[in-house]
Amino acid sequence: MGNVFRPKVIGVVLLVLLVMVGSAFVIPVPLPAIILPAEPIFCIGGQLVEGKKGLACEGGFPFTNSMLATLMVDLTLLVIFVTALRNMELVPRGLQNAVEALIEFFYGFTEDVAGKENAPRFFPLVMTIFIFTLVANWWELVPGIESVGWITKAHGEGGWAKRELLPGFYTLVREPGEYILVPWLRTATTDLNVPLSMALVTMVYVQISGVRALGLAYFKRFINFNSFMDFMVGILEIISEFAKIISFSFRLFGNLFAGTVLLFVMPYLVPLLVPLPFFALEVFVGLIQAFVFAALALVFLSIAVISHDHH
Amino acid sequence: MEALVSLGINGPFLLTYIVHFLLLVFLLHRFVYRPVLNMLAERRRRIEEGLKAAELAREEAARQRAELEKQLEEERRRAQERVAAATRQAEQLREQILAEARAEAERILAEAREQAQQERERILHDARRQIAELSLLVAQKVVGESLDEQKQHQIIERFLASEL
Repeated sequence: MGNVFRPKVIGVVLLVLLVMVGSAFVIPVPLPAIILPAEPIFCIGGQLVEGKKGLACEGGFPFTNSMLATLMVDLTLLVIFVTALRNMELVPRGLQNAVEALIEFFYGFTEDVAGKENAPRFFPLVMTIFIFTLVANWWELVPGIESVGWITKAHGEGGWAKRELLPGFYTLVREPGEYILVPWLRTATTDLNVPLSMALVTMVYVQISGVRALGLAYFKRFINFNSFMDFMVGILEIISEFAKIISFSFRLFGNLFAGTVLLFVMPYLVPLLVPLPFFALEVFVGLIQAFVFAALALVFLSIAVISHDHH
Repeated sequence: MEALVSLGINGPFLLTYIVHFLLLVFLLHRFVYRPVLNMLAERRRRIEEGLKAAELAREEAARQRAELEKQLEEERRRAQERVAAATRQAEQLREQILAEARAEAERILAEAREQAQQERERILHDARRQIAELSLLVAQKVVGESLDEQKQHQIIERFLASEL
């Protein structure tokens, strides 16, 4: 049993290595262009043109690939919740059970952190952050995302050659050229606007909750002339409120953007088997980041409604 | 500003996402969280009610059982009492009958004794009279003279009286 050098084991290892190395030659994967901003994929009331870098809109409102991904997230949520809650039964079954368990868990979590009286006010935001972020993050793992889209001129460094697969359908190949792919779908949370929008909503709601709980006394934590020390602490508090927005959005954006780059690079290096553990890792990262965002939002909300005088 | 643009931050996009997110919070709250939380509360209420009802039923059953047991005990006690009373009565009756029988026997015995006594006395009396008569007769025969009827009677009476 303990002998790992049995012929069978060696055979399996060799086969795996052969598949891995062989796939790198047989399936040469081009490295996708790594672009920070979301790219427009069509224009509402305008004309999609080739811009300086990728695609751009000439007039009209640019509809980006991360917006389409956001709509896909909404669609996913719609399908899940409609399936789960269409016929709500007192004795839950299947998906209804899962949805109820998730919501009950988060409601209990919110009550534990924020207290019973604050939980109903904080819960919708916290829960939505988690659900939306989780589904958006996990869309990163759906095959085809970030690999199907418009092929356009790179206008700059890099780029691959394109080849016609079927009439009218092209693919990039791993040969030097001047084309890049603008995917139709891009993981929504890798567009900084998405985490930033949630961070802004959260921090605004934090201020609203603070004022609602403490009245004007809430602002004493920012502007306080009791002593020089308190004044300086107030300034730091103001800075920290803005820092929270940045840390919120960049944490999620950075993790997910890095994740997508990882999932670009791994198939580029070794197309088969090697990317597998990284996909598993990204499942985990997507869950953790969604939970961290929601949990931090909950903590900030809870801190805001606690009076500063009792410190 | 240049840095923000290169990061992809864009006012209209940001606004779109903010509106989208707020809408999502509102819709999920209205159509998912509220019904589910209501359902959870309803289920908790039902389960608590069910448990309470079960508890009540259990208590009621226990109470009825205790009641029945008490009744049974009472019944048993009453039956025992009745048996005891019957036994006592029978005993009394026996005693009474026995006493009566004894008294009767005593009475019959006494009566018999009395009768025997009387008989004896009567026989003795008769025998004495006969003896007296016979003795007188013998005396007559010896003396040869007969007493008159009256005299004879007197003698006999005297003899009898003296003897007794």
